[in-house]
Parts: sequence; C-alpha cells; structure tokens
Amino acid sequence: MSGLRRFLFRLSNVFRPGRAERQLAREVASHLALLEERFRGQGLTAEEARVAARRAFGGIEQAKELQRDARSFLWLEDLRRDIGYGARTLARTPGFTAVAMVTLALGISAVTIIYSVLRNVVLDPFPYTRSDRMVNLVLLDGSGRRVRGAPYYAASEFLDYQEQSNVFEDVVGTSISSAHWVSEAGTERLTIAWMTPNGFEFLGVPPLLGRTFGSADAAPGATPVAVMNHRAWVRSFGADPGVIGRTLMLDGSPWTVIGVMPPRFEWNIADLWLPAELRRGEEAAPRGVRAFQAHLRPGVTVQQAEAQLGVIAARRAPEHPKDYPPGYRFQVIKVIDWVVRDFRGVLYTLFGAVSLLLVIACCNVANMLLARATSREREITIRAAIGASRGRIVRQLLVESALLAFGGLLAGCLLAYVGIEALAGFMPRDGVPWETTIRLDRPVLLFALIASALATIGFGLFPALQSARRDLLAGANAAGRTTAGRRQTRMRSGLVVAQVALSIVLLLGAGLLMRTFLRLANVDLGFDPGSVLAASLSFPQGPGKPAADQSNVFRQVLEHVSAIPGVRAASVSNTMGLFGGTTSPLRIPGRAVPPEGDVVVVFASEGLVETLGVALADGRPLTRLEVEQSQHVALVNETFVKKYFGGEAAVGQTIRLERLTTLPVPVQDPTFAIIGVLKDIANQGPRNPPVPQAVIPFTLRGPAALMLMVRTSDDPMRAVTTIRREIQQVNRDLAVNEPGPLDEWIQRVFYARPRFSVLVLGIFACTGIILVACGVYGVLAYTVSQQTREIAIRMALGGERGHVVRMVLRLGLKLVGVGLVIGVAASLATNRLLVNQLWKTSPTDPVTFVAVIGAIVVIGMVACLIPARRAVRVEPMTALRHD
Amino acid sequence: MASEERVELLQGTLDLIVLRALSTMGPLHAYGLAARLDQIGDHPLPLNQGTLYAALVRLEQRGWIKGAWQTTESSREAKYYSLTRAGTRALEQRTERWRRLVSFVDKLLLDER
Repeated sequence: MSGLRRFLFRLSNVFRPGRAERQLAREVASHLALLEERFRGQGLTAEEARVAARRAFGGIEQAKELQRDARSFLWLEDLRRDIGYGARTLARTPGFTAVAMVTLALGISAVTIIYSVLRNVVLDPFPYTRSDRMVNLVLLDGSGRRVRGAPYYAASEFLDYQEQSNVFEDVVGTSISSAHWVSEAGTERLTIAWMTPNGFEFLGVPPLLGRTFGSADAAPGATPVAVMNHRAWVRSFGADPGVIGRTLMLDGSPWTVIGVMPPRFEWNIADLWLPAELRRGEEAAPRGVRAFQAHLRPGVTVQQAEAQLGVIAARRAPEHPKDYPPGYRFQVIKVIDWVVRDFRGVLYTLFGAVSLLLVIACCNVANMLLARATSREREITIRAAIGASRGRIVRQLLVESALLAFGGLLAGCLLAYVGIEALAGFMPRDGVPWETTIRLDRPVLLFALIASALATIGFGLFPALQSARRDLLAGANAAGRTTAGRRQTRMRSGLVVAQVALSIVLLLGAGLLMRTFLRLANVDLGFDPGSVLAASLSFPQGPGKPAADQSNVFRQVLEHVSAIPGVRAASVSNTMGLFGGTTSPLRIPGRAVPPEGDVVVVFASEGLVETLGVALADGRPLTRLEVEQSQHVALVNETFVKKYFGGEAAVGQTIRLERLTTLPVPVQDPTFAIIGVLKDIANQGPRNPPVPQAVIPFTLRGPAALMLMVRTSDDPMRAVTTIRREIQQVNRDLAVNEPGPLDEWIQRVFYARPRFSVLVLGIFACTGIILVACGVYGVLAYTVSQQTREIAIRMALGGERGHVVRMVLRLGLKLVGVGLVIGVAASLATNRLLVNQLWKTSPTDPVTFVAVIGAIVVIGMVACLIPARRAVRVEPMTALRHD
Repeated sequence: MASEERVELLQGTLDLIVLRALSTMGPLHAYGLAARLDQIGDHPLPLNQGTLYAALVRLEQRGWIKGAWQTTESSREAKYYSLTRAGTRALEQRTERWRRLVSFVDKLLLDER
C-alpha cells in the first residue's frame, strides 16, 4: 500500500518537478540557517559560522541529488529534461527537422502500407476464430494432383473421416450451389452455401442482425431458415433491416431470413447460408457432397493429422477403389495457404523492397545527423567538459533522434492511411481472401511504432556514439573549424554508397516488373474487348425445360437484344469472350493426332465472331440456320490448324470431338466439318500462347447457363437496364447475372496483379531515388561547405572553375559509382526472387539495367552539380574572411 | 548513487532511526533531527546532515511522516516533521522486525564463538 503510494508520488514528481525542488531549496536554506545560528551561538563570526554550517551539512548538491533520487525517478526526470531540450534544439533548425521527418515519414509509411497488406492478406485475413488452426482436407493422387472435386466429399465418406479421427476439434461441411430467387423486381441468381448447422459456431462470428442457425433449425420439420451475407443484403435489399423475417422464394421453395452477417464474413463467398445436416445415404450434390474443413486440435500438427487420415483412408480405399487412385495421399492444408498461394510471394517481395526503402531513409537521416554533429561539436564538448558522461550524451542525442522518429511516425501514419485507401482500389481479387480488408488497424499501428523505434536505433545510435567519442580537447580548441574527422567522412560516404546500392536494387526490380507489365499490356489479344458487355444467363435448377426450349429462349433473347438501338451484335456462348471452354480429346479421321491431342470446345451462337471482332483467316462463319439446326459444323483457330494439320488447308476436313459423347445430353456422333478458320486470339490470356480451339453451335450443349455478350456503340453499361427488361419480357425465369464490361473482366483477371506489383514497387523506387538524390546532395553540399576555404584558396591562386567543378563531381560520382557496382551485383542475386513474376523478361534484362544505371548516374550528377556550382561561385576573400 | 553512510548504517535502518526519534521527541525539523541523532549514544552516527533529506522524503511519500512549515523559537521558518498514525504502526512493525533480526544475529555470533 505505502509502496504504491510512494510510486505514485515519485511519478507525479517527474511531471511537476518545480514545486518539490523549491521546497527542498527552502528546507535546506532553513537547515543551514539553523546550523549557522548554533555556530554563532558558540561564538564564531558570521563568516566562520557560515563555513562551519556548510561543513556540518556536507555536500549540499549531493544531498539534493540524493533527495531527488529518492523523491522521483531520476531517469524519468532526465528523460523529460532531454525531451524538452531536444525539442528546443530541433525547433531551432526547422529546415533540418522537416527534411529528416519527411524522409522518415516516407520510409515508415511505405513499410506500414505494405505490412498492412501483408497482414490483412497473408497473416490474418479472416474474421473467424481459431483461423490459424483452420484446415482443408484434400485428397491428392500419386503425382500430387487433387483428386475429384477435392476438398469435396460425399456424405458417408465425409462422416467416416469426421467420426473416425480425433485430430480435429470440430468439423464443418459446406457446399456451394446457386438458387434462383424470384421476386417482384425480377429474377436473380443467388449463391447459396449449404452448411452443417454447427457452421456459425465453428466460425465464431456473431451476426450483425437477427440470429444465426443451430442444429434445431436443421431438424426435420423445422422452418427452413437462411442467414444472409452483408454484401448481398446491401446489393439486393438496400441494407433494409426489415429483411429479417422475410420469406424468399428460392427455386420455388420458401426460406425465412433470420440473420445478416457483418461485412467481411464471406465463408465460401455465398449470398445465403442454409443449414443442412449431412446424412449417410443422402449423397447427391450439392447437399450431400461437402468441403471438409476443420480446426486442428491445439498442439496437433498437420503431419499428425495427415498420418491419421491416411490410416482411415487405408481402411476405406479397398472398398472404394475408384475414389482412391494409386499412390493417393491426404493433404491437410491451412485455409490461408489454400486461398493465398502464390500472391504471398509477391507480398513478401514487396515487403523486402519496402524495408530497403526504410533502410535508405534511415541512412539519409543518419547522414544528416552526422553532418549536424560536426556543427554541434562545440556544444557537445562543453557538455562533456562539465561532467556529462558519454552515456548521458548518447542518451540525449538518441532522445533527439526519437523525437525525429516520432514526428516521422505521425506523418508516416497519415501518409500510410492515405496510401492504404488508394492501394485498396488496386488490390487484385485473385489469390486474395474475400474476407480481406486492407486497413490501418491496431496491429498495423503497433508495427509502425516498432518500425520507427528500430529506425531510431538504426539512424540515431551510430551518429550519437560518434559524437560522444569525439576528443574533448580537439573539440574545445577548434570547434567549428575542423574538417570532419577522416573516420566520419568515410562513414558518411559509406552510407551514401549503401543508399545508392539499395535504390539500384529497388529500381532494377521495379524496372523489370515494368518491362513485364508493358510487354503484357502490349500483347495483341487478337480481338477488340472494348464496348462489349458480358453477363451470364441462367435458368433455375431442377426439372427445367428441355434443351430445345432453352435454345429457343436464348434465340429469342438474341433477337430482342439485337433489336435494342445502339446494340451492334449479340451472341451467347459458354465462355467469357473466347477464354476457356470445354476441353475435349480430339480425333481426326485418317490422321494421327499427337497423344496430348486436346481441343477446347466453345459452344456459341453465330454472332460470336462479329460480337468479339475476331477476324476470319479462311472459310466462312457459322450461319443462323446451322446453329438453329444444331448442324455438326465447326470453326477452328489457326493454332488448331498449325498443330493438327501442319498448316494445310483445314476447311472441309472433318474432326471428332470425343468429349461431346459424355455430355449430360450426349451428342451421338461427334463428327464435325470444319467450315472456317479464325485468326488466333490470346485465348489463355496475354501470358500464355493460344491453345487449339473449336467453335460449334451452342444448341448442341444441352441445358446450361450461357454467357450473353453484346457489342454496343458506346459505354456498354448504359445498355444493362434495357437488356434486363428485354430478357424479362422473353422469360421471367431467366436470371441475368453480374453484367459487366468484358475489358474490365480481362483487366481484373489478367492484369490486376502485375499492375499492383508495378505500381507499388514503382512508387517505392521513385521514393528511393528521391531519397538518394537528397542523400548525395546532402553529403556533397556538406563536404563542399567544409572545403570552402580550400576551394577559395585554389580559386585565388588562379585555379580554374572547371577544375573545381570536376573535383566535386569526381568526389560525388565516385560514391555513386561504388554504390552502382554494389547495387548491380546485389540485384543479380535479388532479382532471382522476381523470376516467377516476370514474363518474357530476363532478370538481367539489359535495357532495364542500362536505363536504371543511366537514371542513377544522371540523378547523381545533378545532385553533385548544385554544390559544385555553389563552390565555384564562392568569392575567395569572403570565404577566407569568414569565421 | 548509494552513499557510503547508508551502507554503513545498514540498508533501511535510517528510516527506523528517524521514525523512532520523531516518536520520542515529537515534531522535529531536519536540523533538530540531526542534532538529536548527534546527541545519542557513545558513537555519533557517521552522518552528513544532508543525508537525512532522502530518508525524510521517502518516509513522507510512504505517508508515515507528515511535514508542515512552522516557525522555530528563534522565529525562523522550518519544516517540522511529525509521525502519522500509519507511521506509528510502521514504527512498531519495524521495531519488532529489527529486534528479531538483532536477536538472530546475536545468537549466530554467540554460537560461532
């Protein structure tokens, strides 16, 4: 009790030392007076009494110091004094302080931004509890490929693994399907997730509105209930809280909404979660086939879990030989690894790059501090002379550095906030968990704090030690006049060299990514994706209309849409653009086909070629009649002809598309006559060479969802409402899903990630180069000002201006040159990290290297020239009279 | 910053001495306290008077003594310290503890002989 009381008193004395100090002085004075009085009483003179009193009292300052120590925390009080002193010192040189803080802010904000991305994408993207132990169960075949729809398992298999294992704390089974939701406003396809009723307990996230479901809701006879996704709630219900209790008709049956989940809850990226128990014997997809996701028990490793599942699998495998290919094995993979995969590499690369940036910033500030230390030599020497210990001086200087870092931290957090907002818009969706939101949250702020603390040590400790080491005598005698010690100069030059080297590494990395991106952006896709609207059209599932009826509906849709003013062409196909399709083995009567003879089959209406703007190399396009009559005719692409006909004329030849015999509605005789050859387009995206493709009438496909693509004469999004209305008129059951411009889709899928890398690394490289320019300039400007007298004497003795300029330039370029060599050497090593992000660009791409080296040399020259020009403008007499 | 006096005095004994002096003499100022300690015993304490201040502030912060500015007989200002109730209790405890320690050390020294 009394201990705590004393602690609080001591603490309070740190923050208001004045009062206690005055009291002490008064008390000591009174004590001395009383002593004096006594000695006077013993017959001493006033002067003698005063001396005697002092002697009896002992060291006054010592006693005060002891008392201070007892009443307060000395180190804290010192710290408070250091901060006050440091703040005043920094305020006296606002230019220096501002530049140092901005430099640090740039560095700190950059690492903070990337850390926030890293943290929210890779380290902790999920809002779910225990997500670090959340795993997927995947069955791999002998060559390490996923078997069947893994991680999906039929009910009895799923339950076997759940019941016979004990490595899991709890298990959730989820499967995804879609449902047509018919309301007054029209028909919409919703993604629904069937989830075992323990799902919300498993994920541990409370609902935003209403409640979540439990096992009672999945019991036979219970009211069918659904929990809604926040996105879907905002998109389709305008965030109306009245949605709770509403009944939605999904594929014709009623489901009551009982809850809405908060944002970021994106389990399986569903619009609605519906409860469904897994039961043996109900093995039909989607309800009877679920993804196996579980929490490992605490302390259980992935390997232990894999081993146990292996044992269970060994019991099952002989009974189900078809499900377990030879050499199968179970992989237990953390959910985060499952989702993020190779984007992790990109982020770690960026994080490495950005750490370099902070190091550069620290080098710069360290350099500035070293230069400043020279001009503060006198002050420090005096402090040392009146008894400040080395530790004390180092501490004082470190406090100043910490103040700079703190300023940098505040400004850096502000910059980071802005940067994160901006960067969030460029985040690729692919390989990033949907749950991710990039934000400046508490852990990220903590990281920024740690980064700036490390930076303080990084840039502050060395200059502080240097200053404190300085020879007392030399400083006192010649303060202000000495040229910097040789050791110091070497150190400062070393820092500039390091900066140049580091920024070369950054610039080369950014340059290579930029080359890759430009190469990708310049790839001719082979068609014109501009002004094309794409939307998927789907019928409700279940006992639907026969294929012929659906084909008729699509035909009517095409007629209605084509009649809309501003629509130039419209088509349906089973592909987005010409990307993807159904892979089929190929046979060519009378010809040998290579063993991996596959062809990607696109089911399309006759308008596809015109809608996409694909050119015809030979023959003719499909006709409406051929499509309507499901004739066995095909268009193939040039790659197809090259690969399978060796470049001979393909038109008129026949091919067999074997996959068509195994479609849900099989095509009995999959023999097709080639009637035309399409020019190649980049049907695998810009990175990969095109694959052989064949386009056949969509009417052969059987009932299925198709993509509607519409070429318009202006902004395709303006046609969406009209197109929706026309389609509603044709058929109320047909849902129009996710309409969007085709080129946006292409950008998102193929370019988002390289763009993100280039953008981030590019910005960092630019920041780095600015810092380097400042660094080189700073050191040279300082050196020149130190050598003003020498230069002035040279000039006075008839030295040529050119000579002086060359001298300064030589000095600067030597630093840049050494940095360049080291940087290029380091890049040869680090650029290997970039290899899998590069495309058709060698990690030693000469163009990039030449450009970057050129840029650094030019920037180095400019940074040298300014101080050099200043040097030659010096009036000899002024310089000599100075100081 | 441990001063030699404090080490010679044994850690913590100065507190006990000050508490005891205040308890027997009533309120005292620092000088009075020092004078009092000078008078006791055959061997005066090897104590600079200034050393008392650290002990006084420590005890005051613990709430065991209380300081108040008053005038002396010679009408000078001085800060008089007096024992608080908590101080009286602390003195009892400390005295008890001290006795136990002394008897233990005594016994030990006797046994050694």
